[in-house]
Amino acid sequence: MISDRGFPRYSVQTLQPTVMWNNEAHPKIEIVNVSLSGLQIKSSAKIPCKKINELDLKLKQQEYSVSVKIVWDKIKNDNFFYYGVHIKFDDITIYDQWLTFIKALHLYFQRKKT
Amino acid sequence: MNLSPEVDWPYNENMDIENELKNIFAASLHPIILDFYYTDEEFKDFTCIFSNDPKCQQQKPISIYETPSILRTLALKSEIFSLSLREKMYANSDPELCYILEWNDQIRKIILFNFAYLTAFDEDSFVSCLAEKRSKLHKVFQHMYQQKVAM
Repeated sequence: MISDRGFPRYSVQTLQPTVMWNNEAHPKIEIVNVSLSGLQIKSSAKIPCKKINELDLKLKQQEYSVSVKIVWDKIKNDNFFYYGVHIKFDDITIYDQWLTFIKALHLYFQRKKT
Repeated sequence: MNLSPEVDWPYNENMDIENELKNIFAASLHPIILDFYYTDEEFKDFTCIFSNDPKCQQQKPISIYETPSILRTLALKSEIFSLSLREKMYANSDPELCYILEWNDQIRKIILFNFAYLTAFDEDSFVSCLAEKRSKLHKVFQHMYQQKVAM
């Protein structure tokens, strides 16, 4: 058994990724942090959620598309809606792309710490 | 979930690690080839504090994403693969198994078992041994950890 926080989480707010939620642009959504297994997102408006949702992140020239499921949500003191999002990989290529992205963030944060 | 098992202190100052491990896994596997690793910060690589693997004497720090056995264990626990992808990802046998001894925000302790050299292995006995003797394993790990920290 391990805690829910198995994989490290990386803040990507400064990278300001463009977010598509279920194939629609959703400017109110911000990505708080990401990990290999999920993301935390925040929004000034409630996000319409299906059982399985499609999330697309665009960071400069790179684009990542993952299937996600909301596992928790709460409204914090700043009146934003926060969501815990779990990623489920069904395609090895998408997993490899996401892993490469996470590895790059890991190295960046490692260097930043030292 | 905090998985820190209770450790019965004080540990034996003169503990013979090889013998302790043989006692713990006596009926499970032979030879017992393993590495103890820990990290006290989630972005830091894992540091080796003990290894009796003849091919792993350099004991370099290892990354969570570059060590297939760690990645595999965490991916399974986090349930990030669909069933079909999981079957593909775990189809190839890997001689290394990652066992999580302790995992929380303060410290992460793991054991990497290398099964490449096995001449005897009883899977059921090994699994029950890990469950029953977790506390004793933690004691052995803690002994090595204290020595490392004291250096």
